[in-house]
Amino acid sequence: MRSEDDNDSVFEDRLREPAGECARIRDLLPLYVAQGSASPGFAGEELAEEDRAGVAEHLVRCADCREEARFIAELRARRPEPPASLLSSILEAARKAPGRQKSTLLPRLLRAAAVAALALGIGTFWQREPEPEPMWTVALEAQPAVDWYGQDWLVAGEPIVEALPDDMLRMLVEEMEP
Amino acid sequence: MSDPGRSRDPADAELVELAVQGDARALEQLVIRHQGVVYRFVLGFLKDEDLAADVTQDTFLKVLDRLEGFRGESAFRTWLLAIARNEALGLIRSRGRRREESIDEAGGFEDGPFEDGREAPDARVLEADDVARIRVALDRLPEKQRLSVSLRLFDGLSFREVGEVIGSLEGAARVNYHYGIGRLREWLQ
Repeated sequence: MRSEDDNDSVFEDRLREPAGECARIRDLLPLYVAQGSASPGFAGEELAEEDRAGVAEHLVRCADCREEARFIAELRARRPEPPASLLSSILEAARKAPGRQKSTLLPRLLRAAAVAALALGIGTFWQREPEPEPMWTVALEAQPAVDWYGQDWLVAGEPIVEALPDDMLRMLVEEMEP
Repeated sequence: MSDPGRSRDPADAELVELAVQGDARALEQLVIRHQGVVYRFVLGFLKDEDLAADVTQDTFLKVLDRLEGFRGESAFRTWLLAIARNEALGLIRSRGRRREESIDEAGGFEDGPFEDGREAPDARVLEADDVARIRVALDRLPEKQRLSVSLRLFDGLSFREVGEVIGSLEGAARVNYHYGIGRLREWLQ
């Protein structure tokens, strides 16, 4: 339960919350300050050019927001940084961790094999000589298509020559002869 | 420290994919990019640099273990910070250091004396150098204000992402940030 002092503190805090245009500008100040600072290491949102210009224009005429911008720039410049040794510690621990001894060789070999197989397949496809179109297919196409529908040896309108019964082949040859 | 998170750099998802395939360089880039935000985030819970470094390392090891299961349903950083939060709170629980805190549910606002029960830092603030002054003042803030200030001001997370990470609504994260900045200005200026 809050004491009377605590309630006063909450009340003061609510007064402290910025309003109107200042509120919008102060929401953006961390991004504005970070983009204007030479110090790297900010993984935050990018501030749109329009917003950046709006903040700059507001700071010219608002002393309190200007003061807050200066203040948070100071804070940012002194933010806590991890010890310089942390990166190498993490990477070293990761190398030693069980289950992370993963060899990079096998995945690379598998990828290389997959690429080679794909390239071989594509090359074979493109280098294949087109088979000459048999003369009799022209004659077949000239026939009323309906005569050929429903026959077992027809697939998508193309006759499978190997599957034609001998009498049908003879019939085709006879039809092709003048 | 390298410049993380800019659009010219490979996206996190791309680095995660490469790291899963065993690309050590991609893994290193992920750690370089995010070690700072993780460290500062867990420092906000633990208030101890050595513990924060240990928990940061543990967080990354846990993340590496789970990397293949990362489905990209949330941003990698949000996922990483959720794991960091669990690691930090787990350590606090195991050490029995966490005190009960009063929480204003409406604003996610906490008030009262210093969470760790230390005396007011004003005298020390006057004597300490700037970095230490800021650390002491940050530690003095209620937890959600401290975390909101750290994530927004130091690492540029959107208020929505801050809310996701600290377990608040976006609006509450924004209010906590402004309260925190107001108090720091009052104490440090």
